Amino acid sequence: MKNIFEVSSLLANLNNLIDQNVYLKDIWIQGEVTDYKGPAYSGHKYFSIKDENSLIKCVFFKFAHIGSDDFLDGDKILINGEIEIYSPSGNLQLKVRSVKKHGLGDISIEIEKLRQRLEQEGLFDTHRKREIPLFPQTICVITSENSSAWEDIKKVITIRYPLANLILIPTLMQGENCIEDVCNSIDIANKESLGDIILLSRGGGSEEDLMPFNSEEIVRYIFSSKIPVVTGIGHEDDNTLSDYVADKRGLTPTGAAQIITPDINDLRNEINSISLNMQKTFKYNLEFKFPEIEKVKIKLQNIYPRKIELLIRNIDQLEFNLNGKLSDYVNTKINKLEYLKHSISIFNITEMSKKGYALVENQKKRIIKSINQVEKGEKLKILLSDGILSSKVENKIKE
Amino acid sequence: MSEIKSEVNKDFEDFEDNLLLLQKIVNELENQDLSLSETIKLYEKGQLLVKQCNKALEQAQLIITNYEKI
Repeated sequence: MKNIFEVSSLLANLNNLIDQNVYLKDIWIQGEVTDYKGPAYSGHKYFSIKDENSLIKCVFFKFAHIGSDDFLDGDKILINGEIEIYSPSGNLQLKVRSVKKHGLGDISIEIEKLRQRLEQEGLFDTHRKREIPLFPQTICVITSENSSAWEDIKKVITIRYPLANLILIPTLMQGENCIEDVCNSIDIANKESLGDIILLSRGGGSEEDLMPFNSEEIVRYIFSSKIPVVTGIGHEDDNTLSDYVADKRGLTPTGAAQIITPDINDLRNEINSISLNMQKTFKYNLEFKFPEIEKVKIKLQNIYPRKIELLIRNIDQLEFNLNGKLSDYVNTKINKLEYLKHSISIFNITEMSKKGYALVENQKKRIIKSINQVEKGEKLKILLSDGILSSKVENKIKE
Repeated sequence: MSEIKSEVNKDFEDFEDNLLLLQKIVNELENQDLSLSETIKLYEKGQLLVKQCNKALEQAQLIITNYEKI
């Protein structure tokens, strides 16, 4: 029985075959623009590209235009894109990603040839790309010391990931000696193990400035590096062969610094989340895996309040007793004090004088308590409540 | 360049290991059939690791060194 296809399923199958062919998904074609009448109302560009013998239809969606050269019917262009079969018409077409005018052509073609050769050699294979450490300890940066790229990288990593160490290998990133210096820096980084990741980066510039990063030498040094290499070269729409061979590519220096570093805030959140999770699990384990603990807890909750209540009552009673005893003690003391006060008042001289008692003192102002203290004829003073009597001892009669 | 490498912060060197260990502890607490004392020991160790990780993040300071080519 022969396989009979519906038209749609046949085209779907053919598209699947195309999808599986990596080469057809990233293809470069050069030729002359034809059938192009300018952008459609939607902004998309529909045209064909041809050589002397053949022609292929192209669609260039509006969202992909950024960074590509504009072109007219009859222009010679270099297209990057992917092949597909457009099911509604069954036409083979090229879905365009970028367009370069042929003015730059010769260099672009050379680069493309080199790219294809290196690709065939396996330098760009995904499976050979080295793993990027999740938490790089030391990042070896190969860039120019006085460049905005270096400033951007420091700024990003200071904010995102200050746990790391940065080692800068100052390197010429454009000009005559750039290729040699970059290769040398990659070599030093590897020989001296200067990091667990290499960040090769420079800011945007002219095509000529970026050209060294399309050189076979730099590509091969990146390929041979034992330390994983991440690139951040130029702007978003700059593609160099160094980017193809790198283990990971950032679109700019800032972008490259971001993709190789975790964000410290995310790490904080992760640790908090793990900590909460651990607490929940621990609590769950105690409650459900070890129910005896819960029983003891309930027991404690029941017993201790009663015991505590009892103790509080005892304390209250003791306080009450103590207060009573203290009060008695104080009252006794107060009574005694009153008694003493009264006793003292009895012996107060003024009070005593009022009752007819008197004090006798000699001329030396000493109080006379005995007849032995005086002599006959000695002058004495008798102190009464309202005055003093002067007297003289006429006789001493001992009782 | 041994001087450069020696500047690597010890707290940080441990950070990745501590984080991985912490995740392992949570997994063990969730999945393993542990005794009460093992559960408590693991939990205490986990709490200690959380403290160490947070300390490493709080104290982190980027160290920048320029390599001098000969």
